Amino acid sequence: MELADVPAQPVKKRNRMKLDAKIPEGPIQEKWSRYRNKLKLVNPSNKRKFRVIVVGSGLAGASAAATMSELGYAVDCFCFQDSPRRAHSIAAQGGINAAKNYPGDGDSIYRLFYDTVKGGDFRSREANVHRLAEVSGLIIDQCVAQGVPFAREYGGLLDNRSFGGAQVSRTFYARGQTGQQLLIGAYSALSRQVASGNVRMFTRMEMLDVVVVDGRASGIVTRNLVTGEVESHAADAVVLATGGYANVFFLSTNAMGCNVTAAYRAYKKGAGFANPCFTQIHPTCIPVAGDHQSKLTLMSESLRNDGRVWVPQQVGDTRPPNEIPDAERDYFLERKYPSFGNLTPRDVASRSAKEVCDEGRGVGKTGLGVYLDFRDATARMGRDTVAAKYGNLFDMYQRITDENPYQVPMRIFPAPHYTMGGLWVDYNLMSTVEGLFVIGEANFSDHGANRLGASALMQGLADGYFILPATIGNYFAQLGISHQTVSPDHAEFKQAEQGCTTRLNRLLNASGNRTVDSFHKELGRIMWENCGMSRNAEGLEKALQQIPELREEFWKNVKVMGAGEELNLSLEKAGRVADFLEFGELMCRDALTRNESCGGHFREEYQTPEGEAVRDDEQYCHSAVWEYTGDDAVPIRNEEQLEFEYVELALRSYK
Amino acid sequence: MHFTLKIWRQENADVAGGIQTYEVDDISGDTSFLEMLDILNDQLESDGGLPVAFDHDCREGICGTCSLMINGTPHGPETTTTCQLHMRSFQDGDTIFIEPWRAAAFPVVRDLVVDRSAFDRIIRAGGFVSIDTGSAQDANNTPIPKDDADYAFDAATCIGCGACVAACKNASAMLFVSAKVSHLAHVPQGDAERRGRVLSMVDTMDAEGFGSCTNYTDCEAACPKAISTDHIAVLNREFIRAKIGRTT
Amino acid sequence: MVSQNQLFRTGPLASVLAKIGVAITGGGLILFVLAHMFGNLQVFLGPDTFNLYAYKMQHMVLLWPARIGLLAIFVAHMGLVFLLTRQNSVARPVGYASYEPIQSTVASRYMLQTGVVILLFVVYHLLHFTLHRVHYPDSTVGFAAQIEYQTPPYVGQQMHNAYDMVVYSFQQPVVALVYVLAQLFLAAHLWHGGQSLFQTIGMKNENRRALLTRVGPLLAMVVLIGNCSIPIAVLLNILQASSTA
Ligand SMILES: Cc1cc2nc3c(=O)[nH]c(=O)nc-3n(C[C@H](O)[C@H](O)[C@H](O)COP(=O)(O)OP(=O)(O)OC[C@H]3O[C@@H](n4cnc5c(N)ncnc54)[C@H](O)[C@@H]3O)c2cc1C
Ligand code: HEM
Ligand code: SF4
Ligand code: FES
Repeated sequence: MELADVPAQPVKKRNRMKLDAKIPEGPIQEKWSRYRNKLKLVNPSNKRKFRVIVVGSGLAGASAAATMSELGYAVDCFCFQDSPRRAHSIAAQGGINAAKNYPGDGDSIYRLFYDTVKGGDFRSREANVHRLAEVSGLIIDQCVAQGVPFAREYGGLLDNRSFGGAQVSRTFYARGQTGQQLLIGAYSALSRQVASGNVRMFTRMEMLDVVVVDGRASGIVTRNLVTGEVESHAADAVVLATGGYANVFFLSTNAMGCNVTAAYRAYKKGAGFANPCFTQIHPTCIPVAGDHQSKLTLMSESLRNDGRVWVPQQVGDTRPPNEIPDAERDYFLERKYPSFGNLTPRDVASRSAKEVCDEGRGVGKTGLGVYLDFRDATARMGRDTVAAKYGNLFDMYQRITDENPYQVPMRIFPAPHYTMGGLWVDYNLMSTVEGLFVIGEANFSDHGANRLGASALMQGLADGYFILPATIGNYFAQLGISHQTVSPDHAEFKQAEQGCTTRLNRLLNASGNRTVDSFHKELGRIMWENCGMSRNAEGLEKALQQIPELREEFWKNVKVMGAGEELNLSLEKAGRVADFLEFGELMCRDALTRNESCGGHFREEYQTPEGEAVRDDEQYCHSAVWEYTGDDAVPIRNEEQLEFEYVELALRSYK
Repeated sequence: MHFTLKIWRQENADVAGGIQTYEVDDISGDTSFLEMLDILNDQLESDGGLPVAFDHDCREGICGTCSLMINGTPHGPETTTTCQLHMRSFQDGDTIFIEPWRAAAFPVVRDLVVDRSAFDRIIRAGGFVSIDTGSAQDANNTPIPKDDADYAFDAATCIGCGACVAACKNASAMLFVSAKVSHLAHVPQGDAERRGRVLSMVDTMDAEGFGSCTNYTDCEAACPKAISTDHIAVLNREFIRAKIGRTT
Repeated sequence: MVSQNQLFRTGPLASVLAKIGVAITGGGLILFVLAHMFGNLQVFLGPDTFNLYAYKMQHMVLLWPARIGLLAIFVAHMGLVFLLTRQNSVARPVGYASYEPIQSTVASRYMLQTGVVILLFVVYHLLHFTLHRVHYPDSTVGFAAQIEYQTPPYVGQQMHNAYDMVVYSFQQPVVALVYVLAQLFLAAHLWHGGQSLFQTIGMKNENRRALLTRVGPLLAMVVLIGNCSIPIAVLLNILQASSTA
């Protein structure tokens, strides 16, 4: 393999953090079951004495809050939306994986485990991934029992489809609204617990800080988004289920409110942040139409099952797509990856689309788009079948673009979508701060450097329904029943409250003349250009210069109208953007120090002459875990080495 | 395009509000309705004014956060959510009224933002199956006829936006409640609790201060997910069954 | 953990229950309206048939129980409507500056108003034909008198000449006008009510919906044409008095 010229990057290697993954002993198939048998338990009558705060009510948060409440713990659940049902998980379309092997096409726990490790480009922890595959089936059982209306076949049994490049059909789905149906299921379980009085639900509440007392997470500070009140909430453990940070790019497929605030504040309180540069760019999104655009819309990946992706062979071919004959089209995914074709994994498909656009062969007004064509599928299956399978997606496309995809090919372009990076957690899902657990997209997860389609829902629910409720019991048992919950009047709480209030006031008093959005857009542009689909040292270094400058300007020149003691959407946004402005820097730093290409992290310096990613297992077979050392100090990069015993470290090839 | 906007402004729940007039210019047809409001807010903030508060999150038509009564119709003139509405649905020079959902059960929080927590309380009253995590049997042990599953799905697509309430002359929440009752009435998992569920949810609906159902059907026409009022008939059926059916 | 009973709360009179009551009583009233109409249409079969019908109705064994029952249904209908209307009237304290109904019918939105007109009409109708207090043709004239029945098997039976009472009443244009107008309101009420009740008692579903929804307008037209045909026929001299004033 030939490497392009590679500038050497200094890598600070210093492990200050205690990164004990606590992976249990034993063969991988038995680790979880053996471990569960050994976990300490809390006596049922004592469970209600332990209070746990769950921040987030998405799939991970809602399922965890409901399950822990069923077990008998006292739960306080928080979300910033007006209802827990509106968490961003609701937007997931495609489906959820489970190794049920209902279709009998050879799937198994091992195969799901294998696919996930390989799909993640060998940057995840084997033991965690295997556990995920093990509980995947239980998730489906649980959801069906809640009444989730998954797609069924005429015989009344559950239907599966192949998704995101998997070679078996293991994806359960509910039309194009799988996330919605799963979240409504978790939300209904949560609602039942709220009705029982075991869960206190706090909506329109934003977490602004984690409070750590004597090394243990002891509560949080929130801002009531309606009244503006800054309050403390104490508990015996804190669970963050606050989702991903793709909105650092400003334009992404995430909901407008998605943010890094909770995770970032936890990072500042001592939780290690792992692999922040591992972000996923989804290939099938509707291209940007103009400056007014506030977010990007994902078109389900399932479209790639039947649609064919192409661009004109000639640069500057502006003929309408239907007038370009087949011979002059470049079905570039089929050409480059004959065995996976249009179903190559997301990172590969996205990058290929970017390449052809960089060559000037992109389509649409902006030249940033490729065609996703259903002409052949329509000829093969008939328009009605296409409509039955994809009708709602076609309608959505037409509503947004005003073009009819039955007649002209859709235009798609990659967009930031998911973040594999997140707070580092051990096998118990506990971060480097005692008693601070992180689940769902917010943790650095089981997806390594790239997530396979339909696996985020699986992971969020695995964490929430099955894993955290088991491991948190062990933590409480260790605390013991004589443990006293810290009072919310404790000095640490007061200090944290003070810190939050001061920061809010700073934002309100900045009285500059630039809107929050304009800063967010500028940050987004910096991130997209330099830390997006492909990265290089030069760009990252430039970004590392630009971001602090932008941040400085932000604090001087941001304009936040209104007051603190009221519903103030600009203030909310400003706080989130302020955190993104710090976090973006961390992301670039991580990208700059990972001198290899793997999964969603593509460093231009590390590629074969054909443009394939080159991983460096010698030096980078680890998770990079960043440790906060002060506002103006460079954070420390710690490493958790990854061992691959069951899946052979191999080149990830989809040719 | 140019628009004259007549927007309800109200500082908080305790003070009176009123309609204010604003102008926006240079809006392209591809701009979504909420992006048009973003532009207005940018304009307001630059002029030192307070931005208009409105609810939104996913901007994909699925979370149910966005609301807005647009020219007297919830979510505006198309069968979709406000966030998926585009300005090409309007004519250059149009005057557009933008008001919050109006219902005693949905008090205004600020400007166009209302409090829809009443919906959560209705779901808490019975919109669930009582099954503890981990106690479920294998998912394929209970086949469900595809038609039933599909029908349940049609009901389950409700995004809890509240447009049905906003559209209803009585501010009734029957469509929302019936969607959940009907969803769970069409899957066997919902069977064990169907009696208690419908009675309790209807009771909570009344207690929250929603109106009753006169079968106007404006709700289904306003519903961005095209939930049919047939589900209200299902609710009524479930209710009658629960009242006069066997108790044991 | 909380038991089922604690989780589910149920109150005594839910809006849905009240509404089902409205539908059932409304349905009862519809049956009455139809029976009443078909009875009255016998006026077209001539004085004998009609007078006998009136006579039989008057002398029905269960006349008073029937009247009381009907009144109870009517009062129950209104009572439940009162409860629902009260609930609705507080459900939207602040109205819209701009409000556009999307697909509801005018009839459905004015149920209360049409209902109130029906109530007023019923009062008038009773004062008129039953209690003979208003617009009642002078009682000294011949038609109001008892007549002797001519056709077997009731030959010689003394009967009230209801036929002429109807004809002479409707010959007064005001009376005919009041009746015709009232029927318009009744028709509007039935236009919506006559199909809405199927929804309320849970009979509608995807397949039956289209059919059942047509029942309301059909009923409305039948009742409108049926009931109005009498005053109009009188005004057009198609129905003429059997005795002279
Ligand atoms: C358009 C789209 C489609 C997708 N499709 C699929 C798919 O088909 N299959 C799949 O497996 N995955 C899919 N994903 C990914 C998947 O949906 C997410 O990764 C997953 O739902 C994340 O769940 P979560 O519970 O971790 O977080 P979220 O659902 O994002 O929930 C975060 C919660 O945290 C709360 N929160 C956040 N910050 C704060 C704060 N500071 N204070 C208080 N509360 C806070 C929020 O209120 C919210 O309740 C998709 C993602 C997108 C964007
Ligand atoms: C001959 C007399 C009447 C008949 C046949 C009749 C019939 C009906 C029917 C069938 C319904 C529909 C029930 C449903 O939607 O399920 C209805 C509803 C209604 N009726 Fe009547 N009705 C009569 C008299 C009245 C009177 C006197 C009033 C008022 C004072 C009234 C007020 C209403 C109202 C307001 C409704 C709508 C209730 C609601 O859904 O909120 N009706 N009626
Ligand atoms: S029924 Fe329709 S309009 Fe009503 S809350 Fe649900 S989605 Fe919104
Ligand atoms: S913002 Fe989510 S539905 Fe409109």
